[in-house]
Amino acid sequence: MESDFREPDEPRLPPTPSAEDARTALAHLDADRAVLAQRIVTPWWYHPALGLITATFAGAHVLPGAGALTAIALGVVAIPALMSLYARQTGVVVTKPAGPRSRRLLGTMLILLVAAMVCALLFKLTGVDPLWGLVPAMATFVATVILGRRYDDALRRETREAGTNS
Amino acid sequence: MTGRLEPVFNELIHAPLRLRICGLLKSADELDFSVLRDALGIDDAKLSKNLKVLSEADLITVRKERSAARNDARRVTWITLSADGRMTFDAHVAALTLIATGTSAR
Repeated sequence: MESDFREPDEPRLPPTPSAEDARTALAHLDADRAVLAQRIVTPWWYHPALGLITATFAGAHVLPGAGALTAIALGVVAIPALMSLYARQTGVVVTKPAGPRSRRLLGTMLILLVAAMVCALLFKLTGVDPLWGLVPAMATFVATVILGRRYDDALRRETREAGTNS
Repeated sequence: MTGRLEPVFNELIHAPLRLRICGLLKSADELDFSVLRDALGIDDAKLSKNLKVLSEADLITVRKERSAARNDARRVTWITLSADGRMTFDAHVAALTLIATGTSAR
């Protein structure tokens, strides 16, 4: 069986490795994970661009007429476009948190976005000046940039430190 | 992951390069061919051969995408660890961990 999968230049491996060989194989996996974590570096423009999109979502509700729907539709199109651009630049696609800290930060970002959207909606329903919609939009932009960078740091650290079976 | 992971040694994955390929893929949703090649420090041909073995065993999926940054017909190749691949890799690593700690596996 083994020879079916073996490349001609691959060393022949014993059917079951020794404890030392198993430790070496596991150490290689840890080292590779550390190398990959170094590559999860978001380009400088990514979070400001994502911030503009989330700010559009947050502030769109105060726009008059079809403006809100148009702004949200643009945001929906812009997110996959931005992620695709990012993936092509880095060659790495990581869409899920790698551990508890990155999961918490992602949850916080989503809660803040929903809170900002509700806030903008309340402004619209109470008939205040639409310019007030800039407040939740700006807050969302700032939160996305700051928390997004922290999320990246957490993702890198958790990818590097993750147990192989996590 | 739910339930207890059953350690199962897998000879196909255990080949050093293939184990490392699966390990790298486990940490991401998708990796570009060049990222894998550079992380492993091997040439294109060697990586292609090993990816073919893993792909034929349905442990990974390979997806090609046209690249706007290139004028020629070359494409970006994205590689993903399949659901089967993820389970097989996890079970194999569990078996390796048992062996490394001196407990029998299989």
